[in-house]
Amino acid sequence: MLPLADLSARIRQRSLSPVELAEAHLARIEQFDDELHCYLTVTAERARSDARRAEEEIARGAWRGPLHGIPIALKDLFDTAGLRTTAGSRVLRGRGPTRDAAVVERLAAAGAVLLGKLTLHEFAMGSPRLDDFFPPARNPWDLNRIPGGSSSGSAVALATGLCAGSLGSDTGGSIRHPAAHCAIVGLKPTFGLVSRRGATVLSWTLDHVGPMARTVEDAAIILQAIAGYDPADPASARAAIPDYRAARHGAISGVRIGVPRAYVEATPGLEPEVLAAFDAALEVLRQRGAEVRDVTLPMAEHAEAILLTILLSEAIAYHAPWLRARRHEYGQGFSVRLLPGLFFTAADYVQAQRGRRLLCRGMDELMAEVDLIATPTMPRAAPTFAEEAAASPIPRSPCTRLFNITGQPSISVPGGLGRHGLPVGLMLSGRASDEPTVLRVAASYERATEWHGRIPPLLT
Amino acid sequence: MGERSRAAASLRQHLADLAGRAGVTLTEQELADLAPVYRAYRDGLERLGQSLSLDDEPAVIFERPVGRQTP
Repeated sequence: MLPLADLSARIRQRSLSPVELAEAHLARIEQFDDELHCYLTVTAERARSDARRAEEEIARGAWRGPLHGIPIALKDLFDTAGLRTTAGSRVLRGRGPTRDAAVVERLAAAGAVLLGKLTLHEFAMGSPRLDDFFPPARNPWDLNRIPGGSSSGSAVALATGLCAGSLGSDTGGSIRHPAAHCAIVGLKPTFGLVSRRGATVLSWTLDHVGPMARTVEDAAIILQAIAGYDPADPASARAAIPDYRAARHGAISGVRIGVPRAYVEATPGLEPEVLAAFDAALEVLRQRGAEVRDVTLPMAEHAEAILLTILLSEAIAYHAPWLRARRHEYGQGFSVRLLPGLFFTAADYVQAQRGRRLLCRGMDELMAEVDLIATPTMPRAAPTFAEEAAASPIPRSPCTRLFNITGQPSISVPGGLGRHGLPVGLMLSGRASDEPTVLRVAASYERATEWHGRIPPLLT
Repeated sequence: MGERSRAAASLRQHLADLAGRAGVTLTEQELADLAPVYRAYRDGLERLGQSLSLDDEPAVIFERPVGRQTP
């Protein structure tokens, strides 16, 4: 399983054929996906057609860039013209968009080869159940465990070599959770950097779209292709787009990393193995020259109330017509999380937005003192499906959710092994629009460790 | 019916009324399952409300979390 960047270099040198690469991926999907369930739709003919076009263009010197001829797959909430887009729900099982999502258009323009559409938790928030309408993706590190979500299929496909790059969406942690549980890289960019036009909505003011990949460099390559202003997304920002791939180079000496230790250690369900892996990761960063110090997060004790009140209120506004007419088509794992949103009042929503504003202001002040905030991505390694089904319907995402509220960039990289030898993630979150520092420190950590190269037992 | 039962029934009716505003009818089982979740959310919002000062009124209710850079 070579990184996307290596595949790209070989394609450009014409020592690797995009057609052969696509066929190899389709063969792996055929071999492994019956167990993994990471693909909802395989677009074999589309992939072959895309790959042939890429091969012809590159042969005549029309190389488009590092995604040209690269086999990718998309979380099935990004609209694809002429291909069903289900958001992982029976409610949308027959939906066929007529236009590509903005990010799909950008990836196509970059010459990427579309292998198919990937499994997700229903409407990007459900809790996966084995009897879901669409079978849930399985964690390749232990098939009895969830891979994390909601961008579950994206993480599984990357961890098992069933695609070379992917996209996820992240409203409370949906890119970073599965990245941590499957030992891949997931980047939630700054709010407004990547267009959400054509991505199924969960929460208008919290949704982000971002890359998922096997390495930090690969994530930077994908981000480069999808970042940029889009007038069709009201949240889109006209920001300068730096060279993200180049930004990952360089030393990290002097970078100030804040650790909200009291918050991390008070996290319900924090496993000692996760804390040990986190402390080991901080030591690696120290050895590479970073200044690591403890900090206190502002309003963190209210982050759950702020995020869930906003998220569920907005989700109810989006889903209300279907809830009235087609509620029986929703899965249990999604319903149980969505329905409490019916009980919030307008005053609750206003209070949550007021709290959000104060949290953002406090975080701005904190980020004047440090360049990054480091936390474990998740407090525990991946639970089993049975444990997940028995868990509270209140989504728990203590570290990731903070940066959906503030809109700051936040990356999860493989950060060691936890209980039962399962992967855990290190999360690094930076200032708004400072993806370059996030990528640079993440890449430095990646170079110093071997966690990103681990192969799930299923493949060994 | 004891006081606790009456309180539980009253809460379920309250939740049914709230859902009804959106035109959604919940089953008795759903109302029973959702009651503790509702209490947890109310507790969180209560704590949040106590931390918000009336002297800190926002100019706008929602402002984009990251500064807008309009074209």
